[in-house]
Amino acid sequence: MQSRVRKLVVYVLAILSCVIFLLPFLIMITGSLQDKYFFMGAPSQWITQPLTLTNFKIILSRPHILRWFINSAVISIIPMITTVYIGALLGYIYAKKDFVGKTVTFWLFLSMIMVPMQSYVIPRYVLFAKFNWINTYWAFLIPQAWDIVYFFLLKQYMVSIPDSLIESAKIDGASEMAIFHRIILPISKTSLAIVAVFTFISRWNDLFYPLLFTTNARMFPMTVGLASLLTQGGKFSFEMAGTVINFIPTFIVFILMRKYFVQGIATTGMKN
Amino acid sequence: MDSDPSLQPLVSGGAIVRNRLDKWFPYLVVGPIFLHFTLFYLGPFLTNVIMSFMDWKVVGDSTFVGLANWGRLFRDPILWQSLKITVVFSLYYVVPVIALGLGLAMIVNSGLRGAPLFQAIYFLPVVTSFVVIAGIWVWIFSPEPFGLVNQILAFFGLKPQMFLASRQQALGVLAGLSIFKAAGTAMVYYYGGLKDIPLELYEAGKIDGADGLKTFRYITWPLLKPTTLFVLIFITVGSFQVFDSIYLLTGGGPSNATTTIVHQMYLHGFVFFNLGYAGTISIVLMLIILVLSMVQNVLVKYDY
Repeated sequence: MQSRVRKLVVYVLAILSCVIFLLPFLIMITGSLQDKYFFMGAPSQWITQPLTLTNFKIILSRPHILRWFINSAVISIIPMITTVYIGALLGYIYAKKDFVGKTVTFWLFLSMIMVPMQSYVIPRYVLFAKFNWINTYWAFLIPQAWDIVYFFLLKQYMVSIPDSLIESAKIDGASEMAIFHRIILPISKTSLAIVAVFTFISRWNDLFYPLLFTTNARMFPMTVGLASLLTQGGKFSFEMAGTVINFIPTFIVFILMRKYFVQGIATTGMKN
Repeated sequence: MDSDPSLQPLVSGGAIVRNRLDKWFPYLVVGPIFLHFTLFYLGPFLTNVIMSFMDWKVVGDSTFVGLANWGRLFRDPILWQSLKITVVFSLYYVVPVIALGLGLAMIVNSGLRGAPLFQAIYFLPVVTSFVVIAGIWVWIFSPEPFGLVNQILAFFGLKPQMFLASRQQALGVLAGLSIFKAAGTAMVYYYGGLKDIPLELYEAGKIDGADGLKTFRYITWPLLKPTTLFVLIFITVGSFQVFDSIYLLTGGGPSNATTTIVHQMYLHGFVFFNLGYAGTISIVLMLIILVLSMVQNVLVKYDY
């Protein structure tokens, strides 16, 4: 009897918190699909208004918005691929190889993990101004080609790969790159997927970094572009249409790769 | 897996050349990456330290100014205020995230049906951009009488509030946004922690007649201490770097009531182009984060 009551309480709490967590997303979707000033009037009007796609038509006809989407895609997909590949290669070498300078370089990499991005972004800005990289993809693709944290995560995983696997491939005459591509990469699939989804999401959602390195509206990613609409203060329904467009790719990635998010957070937690 | 030597293929001449190349393999990879690291991470960071002693300019000559930036920092009332605001934000933010994260993890871990779905829903804000949630937040906390929260307040007979336009309330509303966004992360950590608690302990507790509250107090909470410590530091470090929601929703206002360290650094660096001073502020931020990490290390070491 008591356990039944407890079960009921848990279900009520679970569903109640679900409603609270989903409410903002519900507001976003209904807001984007309503023509009138969604936010005016009594709550009864929020639901009864007819749905329409006008807001999407209007926002898509605005200058640059498609370009923003493409920019976001470029500066999140390419770094995602390079971060996974370089992180895996570097992780493999630090996990399984001996070479001169290994300890020193590893220690230097490690020390920079403590340093927040804000503490090196200004000199980087000055450097990129000299390179004429402001308002170009280079400002993103080159410095974000790999990531120290994800290199550590992959290295941590690769330590657990048995040496005998690598040794037997070597005896069969496989070159280092062949071993890496044919043995190490396939065996690390889960870790690679974790790094890929986290890199994609954090690059796609990033606001601070692109805010500094793009000043030309054509080069904005979605986040900075939407921020410019938001801080100008436009019509709520347009803004919501824009946020829906920004939200969809992350939502799709989240739904498809859900298990990797949970696993990824669990592994980074252990690592620290 | 040791293979019989007689079964191994003979090493051909080509393989010997390749093996020689393979000897250089680590250097061929680490070399360029270390160069990249020096150019884009380590170098800029060291430059930033030097920069804090200079009047740095994007164009034109930079001059050495000694401790001028640091002196200015100690006399800058707005910077001190931003430090205070950051700490207050941290207090508003950290405890609710921990409580909510643990609560949600206990719900997900309670063996209810559809647990993965619930977990996904609680985690959804984590993968959603600040820009998306900030846009919605503006509407929920609209100061107009028709704003969602104001309508709820009106239902209970309370007066409409100013929220983001109020000096007293703005920081709380911003913390609410961050809590909403981060609770899912804390939940996943706590979920992992709860899974690690051996079931026998709960059974032993039941035999000793412990009820739900006692079980939580004497078994769950003490055994989650390492998780709590980790989440605490992780969330606190994050809270000191808060910027996105402030930039999007208040711009540091009203009258500097929500300006934080990173927001001050952004203003000085990228709005006023006072690079040396902004660099100095960013070093203060780094020192704070460093101290927090050291506190964590000490606590972990002494198994507290």
